Amino acid sequence: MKIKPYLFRLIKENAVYIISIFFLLLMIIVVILVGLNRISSSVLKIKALTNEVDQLQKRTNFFQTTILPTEKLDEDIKLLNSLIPNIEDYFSIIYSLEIISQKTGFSIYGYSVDIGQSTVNKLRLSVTGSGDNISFMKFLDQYNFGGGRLITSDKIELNQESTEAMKIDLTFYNKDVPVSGISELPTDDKIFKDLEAIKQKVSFDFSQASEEANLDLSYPRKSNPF
Amino acid sequence: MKKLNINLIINREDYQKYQIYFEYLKISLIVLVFVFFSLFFILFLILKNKTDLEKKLNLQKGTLLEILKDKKVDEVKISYIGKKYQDLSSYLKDDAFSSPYYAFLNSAIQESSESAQLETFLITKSRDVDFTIAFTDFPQLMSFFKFIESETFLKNFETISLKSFSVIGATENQKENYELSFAGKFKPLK
Repeated sequence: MKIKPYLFRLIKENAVYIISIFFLLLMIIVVILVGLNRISSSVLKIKALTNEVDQLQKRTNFFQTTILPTEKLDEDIKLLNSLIPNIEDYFSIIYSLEIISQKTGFSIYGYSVDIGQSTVNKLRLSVTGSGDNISFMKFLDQYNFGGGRLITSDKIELNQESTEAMKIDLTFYNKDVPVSGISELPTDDKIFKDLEAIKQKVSFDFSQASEEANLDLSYPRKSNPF
Repeated sequence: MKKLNINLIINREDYQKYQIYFEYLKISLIVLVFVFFSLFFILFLILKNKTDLEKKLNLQKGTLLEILKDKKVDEVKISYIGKKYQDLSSYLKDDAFSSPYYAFLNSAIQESSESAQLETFLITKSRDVDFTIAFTDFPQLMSFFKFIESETFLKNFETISLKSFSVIGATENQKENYELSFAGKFKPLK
């Protein structure tokens, strides 16, 4: 196609404008791309920083509103390591059954491990005991924490006719919690109030445990009696 | 021979049309210059705003880290306690929490009738309950029926139904005995 001569002349006369327009369009595209790229990376950085600052602020607020002496924290760690040891401690299972028995008057004279229902972190025992109604009530009231180990029972069965030999399935727990890093801190002191309430139910001698109580926050392992 | 001049008389209208287009081109250039600078200015402002915010957050982060510097060991301990407590709470969900339910049922039965006795009691962690109550006296059994239909008793159960009713005949050593078996589900105790 042949360009009309007057059109060619007009193009020649306005060449500066045409080049400027192309240049400007190019510049606008570059500015938009670079600008948006920098804004989006800045937005991501701000989002990450905001999250970080929020977490730090929560942690700071926690320390400003909750006064927790280091000794209390150590006590709580000892309590929790006693309730849920990092490694299963069979002696403490026997000891806790003995303590509950003494406290409640519900005499426990036999137990067997239910391997089928046990896992790495759970040990299920079928406990045989006897006692009157009052001692059984006391036992039901105190078995969770009373022996210094966390004990649960997903089913409780009582038969008045067979109070001589009552069978109760009890579960003991252990779990190794790594100490590394700081995960999210609690938002209030509910945990510590709950732990205080548990401490009242546990006969736990913190002074005795102090030597073993672990700056590395690990529970001391005793050898397996079985 | 090369043509040097343009005959505008022949294509005057066409020429004017193109000339107008090129006028538009000049106006577009001015508009584009304006758009370019406006865009540059707006993006600069947005970026400046974001950078200022980043600086402010970094400063805030620095201040907070400075405050928390001395609490590092306590933080690790609290974090450990938090994790262990979480485990404790989740393990406790496997418990039947039988004590308050057993105590409630026992006291409710004793209040309602003198001769009633809780013979069997079974509760699971989902608060499903099975229990049997024994009576040695028929009128007391009848009054107990009235009691269990009352709001005072029923408000503690999500569901409850009479599973069986049996009469055990009198023997030499034992009086006539009546047994009521119930199955249901407790409401969670507050």
